[in-house]
Amino acid sequence: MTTLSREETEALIAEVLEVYPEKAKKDRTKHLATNDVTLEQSKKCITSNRKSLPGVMTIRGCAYAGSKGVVWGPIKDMIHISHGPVGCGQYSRAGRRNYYVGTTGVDTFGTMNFTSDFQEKDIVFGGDKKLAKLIEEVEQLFPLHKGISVQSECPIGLIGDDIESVSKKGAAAIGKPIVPVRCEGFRGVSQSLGHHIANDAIRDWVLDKRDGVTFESTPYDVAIIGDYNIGGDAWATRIILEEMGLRVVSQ
Amino acid sequence: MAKLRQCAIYGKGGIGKSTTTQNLVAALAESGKKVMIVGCDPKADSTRLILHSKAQTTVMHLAAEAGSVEDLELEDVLSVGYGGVKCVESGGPEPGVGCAGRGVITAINFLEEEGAYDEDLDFVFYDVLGDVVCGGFAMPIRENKAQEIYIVCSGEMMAMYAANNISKGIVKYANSGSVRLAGLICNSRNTDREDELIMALASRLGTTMIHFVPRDNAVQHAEIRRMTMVEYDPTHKQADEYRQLASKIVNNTNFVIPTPIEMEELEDLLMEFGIMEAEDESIVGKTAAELAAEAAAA
Repeated sequence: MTTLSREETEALIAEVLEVYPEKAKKDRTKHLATNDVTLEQSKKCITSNRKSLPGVMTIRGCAYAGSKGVVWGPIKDMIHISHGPVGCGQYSRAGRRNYYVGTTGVDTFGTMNFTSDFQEKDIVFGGDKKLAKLIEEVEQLFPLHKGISVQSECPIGLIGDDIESVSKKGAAAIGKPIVPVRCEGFRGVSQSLGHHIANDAIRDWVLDKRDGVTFESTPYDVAIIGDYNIGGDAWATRIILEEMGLRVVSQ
Repeated sequence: MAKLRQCAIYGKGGIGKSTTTQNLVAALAESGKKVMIVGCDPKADSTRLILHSKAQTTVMHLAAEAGSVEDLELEDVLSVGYGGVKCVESGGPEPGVGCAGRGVITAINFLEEEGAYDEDLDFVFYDVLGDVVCGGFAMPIRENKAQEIYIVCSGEMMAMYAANNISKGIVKYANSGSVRLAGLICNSRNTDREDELIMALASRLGTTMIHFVPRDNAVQHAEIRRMTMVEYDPTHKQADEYRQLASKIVNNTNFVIPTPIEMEELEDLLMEFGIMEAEDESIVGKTAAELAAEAAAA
Protein backbone atom coordinates (compact mmCIF):
# COMPACT_ATOMS: atom_id res chain seq x y z
CA MET A 1 0.00 0.00 0.00
CA THR A 2 1.44 3.36 -0.97
CA THR A 3 1.71 6.01 1.69
CA LEU A 4 -0.75 8.87 1.39
CA SER A 5 0.18 12.50 1.68
CA ARG A 6 -1.48 14.64 4.36
CA GLU A 7 -3.92 16.19 1.85
CA GLU A 8 -4.83 12.80 0.43
CA THR A 9 -5.53 11.46 3.93
CA GLU A 10 -7.68 14.41 4.84
CA ALA A 11 -9.59 14.11 1.60
CA LEU A 12 -10.16 10.43 2.29
CA ILE A 13 -11.50 11.17 5.76
CA ALA A 14 -13.82 13.86 4.39
CA GLU A 15 -15.14 11.42 1.79
CA VAL A 16 -15.88 8.82 4.45
CA LEU A 17 -17.64 11.33 6.69
CA GLU A 18 -19.77 12.79 3.94
CA VAL A 19 -22.25 9.94 3.85
CA TYR A 20 -23.12 10.23 7.55
CA PRO A 21 -26.13 12.17 8.85
CA GLU A 22 -25.25 15.41 10.65
CA LYS A 23 -25.17 14.16 14.23
CA ALA A 24 -23.27 10.97 13.45
CA LYS A 25 -20.79 12.95 11.37
CA LYS A 26 -20.07 15.32 14.26
CA ASP A 27 -19.49 12.38 16.54
CA ARG A 28 -17.39 10.38 14.09
CA THR A 29 -15.10 13.29 13.18
CA LYS A 30 -13.44 13.14 16.59
CA HIS A 31 -12.39 9.54 15.97
CA LEU A 32 -10.77 9.99 12.56
CA ALA A 33 -7.60 12.05 12.30
CA THR A 34 -4.44 12.41 10.28
CA ASN A 35 -1.20 11.63 11.98
CA ASP A 36 0.56 14.69 13.35
CA VAL A 37 4.06 13.99 14.66
CA THR A 38 4.32 17.38 16.34
CA LEU A 39 1.61 16.55 18.87
CA GLU A 40 2.89 15.35 22.23
CA GLN A 41 -0.29 14.21 23.95
CA SER A 42 -2.13 11.38 22.28
CA LYS A 43 -5.48 12.67 23.46
CA LYS A 44 -4.98 15.89 21.49
CA CYS A 45 -4.56 13.86 18.32
CA ILE A 46 -7.58 11.62 18.42
CA THR A 47 -10.43 10.68 20.73
CA SER A 48 -10.47 7.05 21.74
CA ASN A 49 -11.33 4.71 24.63
CA ARG A 50 -14.94 5.86 24.68
CA LYS A 51 -18.15 4.01 25.27
CA SER A 52 -19.37 2.70 21.92
CA LEU A 53 -22.83 3.52 20.64
CA PRO A 54 -25.09 0.49 20.41
CA GLY A 55 -25.30 -0.79 16.88
CA VAL A 56 -23.68 -3.45 14.81
CA MET A 57 -20.40 -3.64 16.74
CA THR A 58 -21.01 -2.93 20.37
CA ILE A 59 -20.11 -3.72 23.95
CA ARG A 60 -20.27 -7.32 25.00
CA GLY A 61 -17.92 -7.55 27.97
CA CYS A 62 -17.03 -5.78 31.19
CA ALA A 63 -13.78 -5.28 33.07
CA TYR A 64 -14.27 -8.57 34.92
CA ALA A 65 -14.55 -10.35 31.57
CA GLY A 66 -11.35 -8.68 30.39
CA SER A 67 -9.48 -9.63 33.50
CA LYS A 68 -10.77 -13.06 34.48
CA GLY A 69 -11.82 -14.21 31.03
CA VAL A 70 -8.97 -12.97 28.90
CA VAL A 71 -5.87 -12.32 30.96
CA TRP A 72 -5.91 -14.40 34.13
CA GLY A 73 -8.28 -17.24 33.24
CA PRO A 74 -5.92 -18.88 30.72
CA ILE A 75 -3.20 -19.23 33.37
CA LYS A 76 -3.89 -22.88 33.90
CA ASP A 77 -2.02 -23.73 37.10
CA MET A 78 -3.41 -20.89 39.19
CA ILE A 79 -6.82 -20.84 40.78
CA HIS A 80 -8.92 -17.80 39.87
CA ILE A 81 -11.63 -16.95 42.37
CA SER A 82 -14.64 -15.07 41.01
CA HIS A 83 -15.22 -13.06 44.14
CA GLY A 84 -18.85 -12.03 44.44
CA PRO A 85 -22.21 -13.56 43.59
CA VAL A 86 -22.18 -16.78 41.65
CA GLY A 87 -23.47 -15.66 38.23
CA CYS A 88 -20.32 -14.04 36.81
CA GLY A 89 -18.23 -17.09 37.43
CA GLN A 90 -20.84 -19.58 36.34
CA TYR A 91 -21.74 -17.91 33.05
CA SER A 92 -18.14 -17.29 32.13
CA ARG A 93 -17.11 -20.82 32.93
CA ALA A 94 -15.02 -22.48 30.23
CA GLY A 95 -16.53 -20.26 27.55
CA ARG A 96 -13.28 -19.23 25.98
CA ARG A 97 -11.65 -22.40 24.67
CA ASN A 98 -8.25 -21.60 26.10
CA TYR A 99 -7.06 -25.18 25.69
CA TYR A 100 -4.29 -26.48 27.92
CA VAL A 101 -2.38 -29.60 28.76
CA GLY A 102 -2.75 -31.01 32.26
CA THR A 103 -5.02 -32.92 34.62
CA THR A 104 -7.94 -30.69 35.44
CA GLY A 105 -8.69 -30.58 39.14
CA VAL A 106 -5.25 -31.81 40.06
CA ASP A 107 -2.54 -29.60 38.65
CA THR A 108 -4.52 -27.45 36.23
CA PHE A 109 -7.83 -25.70 36.78
CA GLY A 110 -8.79 -23.84 33.60
CA THR A 111 -12.29 -25.17 33.04
CA MET A 112 -13.30 -25.01 36.68
CA ASN A 113 -15.32 -22.26 38.33
CA PHE A 114 -14.16 -21.02 41.75
CA THR A 115 -16.59 -18.61 43.31
CA SER A 116 -17.20 -17.08 46.72
CA ASP A 117 -20.96 -17.21 46.08
CA PHE A 118 -21.82 -13.93 47.80
CA GLN A 119 -25.04 -13.88 49.76
CA GLU A 120 -26.92 -10.94 51.25
CA LYS A 121 -25.10 -11.16 54.54
CA ASP A 122 -21.75 -10.93 52.79
CA ILE A 123 -22.87 -7.74 51.13
CA VAL A 124 -24.05 -6.24 54.38
CA PHE A 125 -21.27 -7.41 56.69
CA GLY A 126 -18.44 -7.59 54.18
CA GLY A 127 -16.90 -10.63 52.49
CA ASP A 128 -13.31 -10.52 53.76
CA LYS A 129 -13.76 -13.35 56.27
CA LYS A 130 -15.33 -15.52 53.60
CA LEU A 131 -12.43 -14.85 51.26
CA ALA A 132 -9.92 -15.80 53.92
CA LYS A 133 -11.74 -19.07 54.56
CA LEU A 134 -11.97 -19.73 50.84
CA ILE A 135 -8.21 -19.37 50.48
CA GLU A 136 -7.66 -21.89 53.24
CA GLU A 137 -10.06 -24.37 51.62
CA VAL A 138 -8.46 -23.95 48.20
CA GLU A 139 -5.05 -24.67 49.66
CA GLN A 140 -6.38 -27.78 51.40
CA LEU A 141 -8.37 -29.24 48.52
CA PHE A 142 -6.05 -28.35 45.63
CA PRO A 143 -2.53 -28.43 47.01
CA LEU A 144 -0.84 -28.47 43.62
CA HIS A 145 -2.01 -25.01 42.62
CA LYS A 146 0.77 -22.49 42.00
CA GLY A 147 -1.11 -19.42 43.22
CA ILE A 148 -4.47 -17.72 43.52
CA SER A 149 -5.97 -14.65 41.89
CA VAL A 150 -8.98 -12.85 43.36
CA GLN A 151 -11.11 -11.48 40.51
CA SER A 152 -13.38 -8.80 41.98
CA GLU A 153 -16.95 -8.73 40.81
CA CYS A 154 -19.07 -5.58 41.04
CA PRO A 155 -20.21 -5.73 44.69
CA ILE A 156 -16.64 -5.94 46.00
CA GLY A 157 -15.91 -2.44 44.78
CA LEU A 158 -19.18 -1.07 46.11
CA ILE A 159 -18.93 -2.31 49.65
CA GLY A 160 -15.24 -1.52 49.83
CA ASP A 161 -13.92 -4.93 50.84
CA ASP A 162 -10.22 -4.97 51.62
CA ILE A 163 -9.14 -7.87 49.43
CA GLU A 164 -5.56 -6.56 49.30
CA SER A 165 -4.94 -7.17 52.96
CA VAL A 166 -6.67 -10.58 52.92
CA SER A 167 -4.48 -11.54 49.96
CA LYS A 168 -1.30 -10.40 51.66
CA LYS A 169 -2.12 -12.31 54.83
CA GLY A 170 -3.17 -15.42 52.91
CA ALA A 171 -0.06 -15.37 50.74
CA ALA A 172 2.14 -15.22 53.81
CA ALA A 173 0.23 -18.12 55.32
CA ILE A 174 0.31 -20.48 52.35
CA GLY A 175 3.60 -19.36 50.82
CA LYS A 176 2.20 -18.90 47.30
CA PRO A 177 1.26 -15.68 45.49
CA ILE A 178 -2.29 -14.42 45.96
CA VAL A 179 -3.05 -11.57 43.58
CA PRO A 180 -6.01 -9.26 44.26
CA VAL A 181 -7.42 -7.87 41.01
CA ARG A 182 -9.79 -4.89 41.15
CA CYS A 183 -11.62 -5.71 37.95
CA GLU A 184 -15.15 -4.77 39.00
CA GLY A 185 -17.45 -4.88 36.00
CA PHE A 186 -18.55 -1.26 36.18
CA ARG A 187 -15.05 0.10 35.77
CA GLY A 188 -13.98 1.61 32.48
CA VAL A 189 -15.86 1.81 29.21
CA SER A 190 -15.36 -1.75 28.00
CA GLN A 191 -13.52 -5.00 28.48
CA SER A 192 -10.26 -3.25 27.72
CA LEU A 193 -9.86 -1.69 31.14
CA GLY A 194 -10.07 -5.22 32.48
CA HIS A 195 -6.99 -6.13 30.45
CA HIS A 196 -5.26 -3.02 31.75
CA ILE A 197 -6.11 -3.71 35.38
CA ALA A 198 -5.15 -7.37 35.09
CA ASN A 199 -1.76 -6.52 33.65
CA ASP A 200 -1.18 -3.84 36.27
CA ALA A 201 -1.88 -6.48 38.91
CA ILE A 202 0.84 -8.66 37.38
CA ARG A 203 3.21 -5.69 37.48
CA ASP A 204 2.38 -4.89 41.09
CA TRP A 205 1.98 -8.32 42.65
CA VAL A 206 3.94 -10.82 40.57
CA LEU A 207 6.98 -9.12 39.07
CA ASP A 208 8.76 -8.74 42.36
CA LYS A 209 8.55 -12.48 42.96
CA ARG A 210 11.13 -13.45 40.34
CA ASP A 211 13.10 -16.39 41.57
CA GLY A 212 16.42 -14.70 40.80
CA VAL A 213 17.60 -17.47 38.49
CA THR A 214 19.61 -15.84 35.70
CA PHE A 215 18.34 -16.63 32.27
CA GLU A 216 20.87 -17.96 29.78
CA SER A 217 19.90 -16.87 26.32
CA THR A 218 21.07 -18.29 22.99
CA PRO A 219 20.98 -16.80 19.47
CA TYR A 220 18.16 -19.20 18.60
CA ASP A 221 15.63 -18.04 21.21
CA VAL A 222 12.13 -17.01 20.21
CA ALA A 223 9.48 -15.52 22.48
CA ILE A 224 5.96 -15.76 21.09
CA ILE A 225 4.14 -12.65 22.29
CA GLY A 226 0.49 -11.85 21.83
CA ASP A 227 -0.79 -15.38 21.47
CA TYR A 228 -4.54 -15.00 21.70
CA ASN A 229 -4.66 -18.37 23.40
CA ILE A 230 -7.91 -19.56 21.89
CA GLY A 231 -8.14 -23.19 20.93
CA GLY A 232 -4.45 -23.84 21.43
CA ASP A 233 -3.33 -21.78 18.45
CA ALA A 234 0.20 -21.21 19.67
CA TRP A 235 0.87 -24.94 19.80
CA ALA A 236 0.99 -25.17 16.01
CA THR A 237 3.34 -22.19 15.83
CA ARG A 238 5.58 -23.61 18.51
CA ILE A 239 5.89 -26.99 16.79
CA ILE A 240 6.90 -25.39 13.52
CA LEU A 241 9.49 -23.15 15.18
CA GLU A 242 10.95 -26.02 17.16
CA GLU A 243 11.18 -28.25 14.13
CA MET A 244 13.13 -25.43 12.51
CA GLY A 245 15.62 -25.75 15.31
CA LEU A 246 14.70 -22.62 17.26
CA ARG A 247 14.16 -22.56 21.01
CA VAL A 248 10.80 -21.17 22.06
CA VAL A 249 11.39 -19.60 25.47
CA SER A 250 7.91 -18.27 26.11
CA GLN A 251 4.48 -18.19 24.59
CA MET B 1 13.28 15.89 53.56
CA ALA B 2 10.97 14.55 56.22
CA LYS B 3 8.56 11.79 55.25
CA LEU B 4 5.08 12.73 54.11
CA ARG B 5 2.61 12.43 56.99
CA GLN B 6 -0.91 11.40 56.12
CA CYS B 7 -3.62 12.04 58.70
CA ALA B 8 -7.29 11.07 58.64
CA ILE B 9 -9.91 13.00 60.59
CA TYR B 10 -12.94 11.05 61.79
CA GLY B 11 -15.75 11.82 64.22
CA LYS B 12 -19.49 12.05 64.67
CA GLY B 13 -21.39 13.91 62.00
CA GLY B 14 -21.61 17.63 62.70
CA ILE B 15 -18.96 17.54 65.43
CA GLY B 16 -16.69 19.98 63.61
CA LYS B 17 -14.24 17.84 61.62
CA SER B 18 -14.18 19.98 58.49
CA THR B 19 -14.02 23.21 60.48
CA THR B 20 -11.28 21.92 62.77
CA THR B 21 -9.30 20.39 59.91
CA GLN B 22 -9.34 23.51 57.77
CA ASN B 23 -8.47 25.75 60.69
CA LEU B 24 -5.55 23.64 61.80
CA VAL B 25 -4.34 23.22 58.23
CA ALA B 26 -4.39 26.99 57.79
CA ALA B 27 -2.21 27.26 60.89
CA LEU B 28 0.16 24.63 59.48
CA ALA B 29 0.36 26.49 56.19
CA GLU B 30 1.02 29.74 58.04
CA SER B 31 4.01 28.07 59.69
CA GLY B 32 5.41 27.10 56.32
CA LYS B 33 4.18 23.52 55.94
CA LYS B 34 3.00 22.25 52.56
CA VAL B 35 -0.38 20.62 53.02
CA MET B 36 -3.06 18.91 50.93
CA ILE B 37 -6.65 18.38 52.07
CA VAL B 38 -8.57 15.48 50.53
CA GLY B 39 -12.29 15.81 51.19
CA CYS B 40 -13.92 12.37 51.47
CA ASP B 41 -17.51 13.45 51.76
CA PRO B 42 -20.18 13.73 49.09
CA LYS B 43 -21.11 17.09 50.62
CA ALA B 44 -17.77 18.35 49.25
CA ASP B 45 -17.51 21.00 51.96
CA SER B 46 -14.08 20.09 53.32
CA THR B 47 -12.21 22.85 51.52
CA ARG B 48 -14.69 25.70 51.49
CA LEU B 49 -12.82 27.78 54.03
CA ILE B 50 -9.50 27.39 52.25
CA LEU B 51 -10.80 28.07 48.76
CA HIS B 52 -13.33 30.70 49.85
CA SER B 53 -15.99 28.84 47.91
CA LYS B 54 -17.49 25.42 47.61
CA ALA B 55 -15.39 23.33 45.27
CA GLN B 56 -17.26 22.67 42.06
CA THR B 57 -14.65 20.47 40.50
CA THR B 58 -15.03 17.30 42.54
CA VAL B 59 -13.40 14.15 41.25
CA MET B 60 -16.61 12.17 40.83
CA HIS B 61 -18.54 15.05 39.30
CA LEU B 62 -15.89 15.60 36.66
CA ALA B 63 -15.44 11.90 36.07
CA ALA B 64 -19.15 11.52 35.44
CA GLU B 65 -19.03 14.35 32.91
CA ALA B 66 -15.92 13.11 31.18
CA GLY B 67 -17.17 9.54 30.99
CA SER B 68 -14.96 7.73 33.41
CA VAL B 69 -12.31 8.61 35.97
CA GLU B 70 -9.58 7.41 33.62
CA ASP B 71 -10.25 10.45 31.44
CA LEU B 72 -9.36 12.95 34.15
CA GLU B 73 -6.11 14.76 34.74
CA LEU B 74 -4.89 15.74 38.19
CA GLU B 75 -4.87 19.46 37.45
CA ASP B 76 -8.58 19.31 36.63
CA VAL B 77 -9.45 18.45 40.23
CA LEU B 78 -6.65 19.98 42.28
CA SER B 79 -7.22 23.56 43.44
CA VAL B 80 -4.90 25.71 45.53
CA GLY B 81 -6.19 27.98 48.27
CA TYR B 82 -5.04 30.02 51.25
CA GLY B 83 -1.46 29.44 52.23
CA GLY B 84 -0.78 27.31 49.17
CA VAL B 85 -2.92 24.50 50.58
CA LYS B 86 -3.85 22.03 47.84
CA CYS B 87 -7.48 20.97 47.84
CA VAL B 88 -9.25 17.98 46.32
CA GLU B 89 -12.82 16.88 46.89
CA SER B 90 -13.96 13.37 46.09
CA GLY B 91 -17.57 14.48 45.72
CA GLY B 92 -20.37 11.98 45.35
CA PRO B 93 -24.10 11.60 44.91
CA GLU B 94 -26.78 13.73 46.47
CA PRO B 95 -28.52 12.27 49.52
CA GLY B 96 -30.61 9.19 49.03
CA VAL B 97 -29.08 7.84 45.84
CA GLY B 98 -26.08 5.96 44.60
CA CYS B 99 -23.07 4.96 46.61
CA ALA B 100 -20.92 7.63 48.24
CA GLY B 101 -18.50 5.05 49.61
CA ARG B 102 -17.57 3.94 46.11
CA GLY B 103 -17.06 7.60 45.22
CA VAL B 104 -14.43 7.90 47.95
CA ILE B 105 -12.70 4.70 46.82
CA THR B 106 -12.53 5.80 43.21
CA ALA B 107 -11.35 9.32 44.06
CA ILE B 108 -8.55 8.16 46.34
CA ASN B 109 -7.37 5.54 43.85
CA PHE B 110 -7.34 8.22 41.20
CA LEU B 111 -5.16 10.50 43.34
CA GLU B 112 -2.77 7.67 44.03
CA GLU B 113 -2.43 6.74 40.40
CA GLU B 114 -2.00 10.31 39.24
CA GLY B 115 0.84 10.80 41.71
CA ALA B 116 -0.84 13.47 43.79
CA TYR B 117 1.22 12.29 46.74
CA ASP B 118 4.56 12.42 44.99
CA GLU B 119 4.55 16.17 45.14
CA ASP B 120 6.57 18.13 47.58
CA LEU B 121 4.14 17.77 50.50
CA ASP B 122 4.58 17.66 54.27
CA PHE B 123 1.03 16.69 55.23
CA VAL B 124 -2.10 15.22 53.71
CA PHE B 125 -5.33 15.44 55.67
CA TYR B 126 -8.31 13.24 54.80
CA ASP B 127 -11.54 14.77 56.05
CA VAL B 128 -13.96 11.83 56.21
CA LEU B 129 -17.71 12.14 56.60
CA GLY B 130 -19.23 11.41 59.97
CA ASP B 131 -20.76 7.99 59.74
CA VAL B 132 -18.37 5.31 58.55
CA VAL B 133 -21.17 3.10 57.35
CA CYS B 134 -19.41 1.06 54.69
CA GLY B 135 -15.98 -0.10 53.61
CA GLY B 136 -15.59 2.82 51.26
CA PHE B 137 -15.23 5.39 54.04
CA ALA B 138 -12.43 3.38 55.53
CA MET B 139 -10.47 3.81 52.29
CA PRO B 140 -8.30 6.62 53.68
CA ILE B 141 -6.94 4.34 56.39
CA ARG B 142 -5.94 1.46 54.15
CA GLU B 143 -2.33 0.61 53.40
CA ASN B 144 -0.16 3.42 52.03
CA LYS B 145 -2.62 6.13 52.94
CA ALA B 146 -3.35 7.72 56.29
CA GLN B 147 -1.10 6.46 59.08
CA GLU B 148 -2.48 8.68 61.85
CA ILE B 149 -6.10 9.07 62.81
CA TYR B 150 -7.44 11.95 64.87
CA ILE B 151 -10.99 11.63 66.18
CA VAL B 152 -12.87 14.86 66.81
CA CYS B 153 -15.38 14.60 69.64
CA SER B 154 -17.07 16.57 72.39
CA GLY B 155 -18.19 15.78 75.94
CA GLU B 156 -21.59 14.56 74.83
CA MET B 157 -22.53 10.92 75.10
CA MET B 158 -23.25 10.28 71.45
CA ALA B 159 -20.09 11.98 70.27
CA MET B 160 -18.07 9.82 72.63
CA TYR B 161 -19.99 6.74 71.60
CA ALA B 162 -19.14 7.52 67.99
CA ALA B 163 -15.47 8.01 68.88
CA ASN B 164 -15.46 4.62 70.56
CA ASN B 165 -17.20 3.02 67.61
CA ILE B 166 -14.75 4.47 65.15
CA SER B 167 -11.94 3.09 67.30
CA LYS B 168 -13.38 -0.39 66.81
CA GLY B 169 -13.11 0.11 63.07
CA ILE B 170 -9.54 1.32 63.44
CA VAL B 171 -8.50 -1.80 65.36
CA LYS B 172 -9.24 -3.98 62.36
CA TYR B 173 -7.05 -1.91 60.04
CA ALA B 174 -4.39 -1.30 62.67
CA ASN B 175 -3.93 -5.04 63.12
CA SER B 176 -3.36 -5.70 59.45
CA GLY B 177 -1.56 -2.48 58.57
CA SER B 178 0.31 0.44 60.08
CA VAL B 179 -2.51 2.90 60.72
CA ARG B 180 -2.75 4.12 64.32
CA LEU B 181 -4.93 6.29 66.51
CA ALA B 182 -3.03 9.50 67.11
CA GLY B 183 -5.34 11.28 69.52
CA LEU B 184 -8.72 12.78 70.32
CA ILE B 185 -9.41 16.42 69.54
CA CYS B 186 -12.07 17.84 71.83
CA ASN B 187 -14.17 20.38 69.99
CA SER B 188 -15.83 21.92 73.02
CA ARG B 189 -19.57 22.11 73.41
CA ASN B 190 -19.21 23.75 76.82
CA THR B 191 -20.62 20.72 78.64
CA ASP B 192 -19.70 19.99 82.25
CA ARG B 193 -16.11 18.92 82.97
CA GLU B 194 -15.70 18.27 79.27
CA ASP B 195 -11.92 18.29 79.24
CA GLU B 196 -11.61 15.79 82.08
CA LEU B 197 -14.21 13.55 80.50
CA ILE B 198 -12.49 13.44 77.14
CA MET B 199 -9.10 12.93 78.75
CA ALA B 200 -10.53 9.98 80.65
CA LEU B 201 -12.08 8.53 77.50
CA ALA B 202 -8.82 9.01 75.65
CA SER B 203 -6.90 7.18 78.31
CA ARG B 204 -9.36 4.27 78.25
CA LEU B 205 -8.89 4.08 74.50
CA GLY B 206 -5.14 4.01 74.98
CA THR B 207 -4.47 7.47 73.60
CA THR B 208 -4.52 11.10 74.73
CA MET B 209 -6.64 14.18 74.21
CA ILE B 210 -4.22 16.01 71.97
CA HIS B 211 -5.93 19.36 72.34
CA PHE B 212 -9.03 20.98 73.77
CA VAL B 213 -10.45 23.50 71.34
CA PRO B 214 -12.65 26.00 73.22
CA ARG B 215 -15.95 27.04 71.76
CA ASP B 216 -15.86 30.50 70.29
CA ASN B 217 -18.32 32.28 68.03
CA ALA B 218 -15.46 33.90 66.16
CA VAL B 219 -15.05 30.62 64.31
CA GLN B 220 -18.59 30.93 62.97
CA HIS B 221 -17.98 34.56 62.02
CA ALA B 222 -15.01 33.46 59.99
CA GLU B 223 -16.95 30.55 58.49
CA ILE B 224 -19.75 32.78 57.24
CA ARG B 225 -17.07 34.70 55.37
CA ARG B 226 -15.71 31.37 54.15
CA MET B 227 -12.42 31.78 55.98
CA THR B 228 -10.41 30.11 58.66
CA MET B 229 -9.58 31.94 61.93
CA VAL B 230 -5.94 32.28 60.98
CA GLU B 231 -6.87 34.14 57.83
CA TYR B 232 -9.87 36.09 59.15
CA ASP B 233 -8.39 37.35 62.42
CA PRO B 234 -4.87 36.08 63.05
CA THR B 235 -4.59 38.00 66.33
CA HIS B 236 -7.67 36.38 67.88
CA LYS B 237 -6.96 33.94 70.69
CA GLN B 238 -8.98 31.27 68.91
CA ALA B 239 -6.50 31.42 66.04
CA ASP B 240 -3.81 30.65 68.60
CA GLU B 241 -5.76 27.59 69.73
CA TYR B 242 -5.57 26.21 66.22
CA ARG B 243 -1.89 27.11 65.99
CA GLN B 244 -1.34 25.13 69.19
CA LEU B 245 -3.29 22.18 67.83
CA ALA B 246 -1.26 22.30 64.62
CA SER B 247 1.99 22.40 66.53
CA LYS B 248 0.94 19.49 68.76
CA ILE B 249 0.13 17.44 65.70
CA VAL B 250 3.49 18.27 64.13
CA ASN B 251 5.28 17.07 67.24
CA ASN B 252 3.01 14.13 68.00
CA THR B 253 4.70 10.75 68.31
CA ASN B 254 2.03 8.95 70.29
CA PHE B 255 0.45 6.48 67.86
CA VAL B 256 -1.43 3.50 69.27
CA ILE B 257 -3.73 0.64 68.41
CA PRO B 258 -6.86 1.72 70.28
CA THR B 259 -8.58 -0.33 72.99
CA PRO B 260 -12.30 0.36 72.50
CA ILE B 261 -14.57 -0.02 75.53
CA GLU B 262 -18.00 -1.56 76.10
CA MET B 263 -21.17 0.50 76.42
CA GLU B 264 -21.38 -0.12 80.19
CA GLU B 265 -17.88 1.21 80.66
CA LEU B 266 -18.78 4.29 78.65
CA GLU B 267 -21.83 4.88 80.81
CA ASP B 268 -19.73 4.39 83.95
CA LEU B 269 -17.40 7.08 82.69
CA LEU B 270 -20.27 9.48 82.16
CA MET B 271 -21.57 8.80 85.65
CA GLU B 272 -18.13 9.23 87.15
CA PHE B 273 -18.03 12.75 85.79
CA GLY B 274 -21.53 13.49 86.96
CA ILE B 275 -23.08 13.65 83.51
CA MET B 276 -25.44 10.86 84.33
CA GLU B 277 -27.21 10.25 87.64
CA ALA B 278 -25.82 7.51 89.85
CA GLU B 279 -26.49 4.03 88.66
CA ASP B 280 -30.06 3.21 89.49
CA GLU B 281 -31.82 0.77 87.22
CA SER B 282 -35.14 1.91 88.62
CA ILE B 283 -34.92 5.29 86.89
CA VAL B 284 -34.64 3.69 83.44
CA GLY B 285 -37.90 3.86 81.51
CA LYS B 286 -39.76 6.07 83.95
CA THR B 287 -41.27 9.22 82.53
CA ALA B 288 -41.04 12.59 84.31
CA ALA B 289 -44.73 12.38 85.29
CA GLU B 290 -44.22 8.99 86.92
CA LEU B 291 -41.19 10.25 88.83
CA ALA B 292 -43.11 13.31 90.01
CA ALA B 293 -46.02 11.10 91.14
CA GLU B 294 -43.60 8.86 93.04
CA ALA B 295 -41.96 11.84 94.69
CA ALA B 296 -45.36 13.24 95.69
CA ALA B 297 -46.38 9.89 97.13
CA ALA B 298 -43.15 9.57 99.14
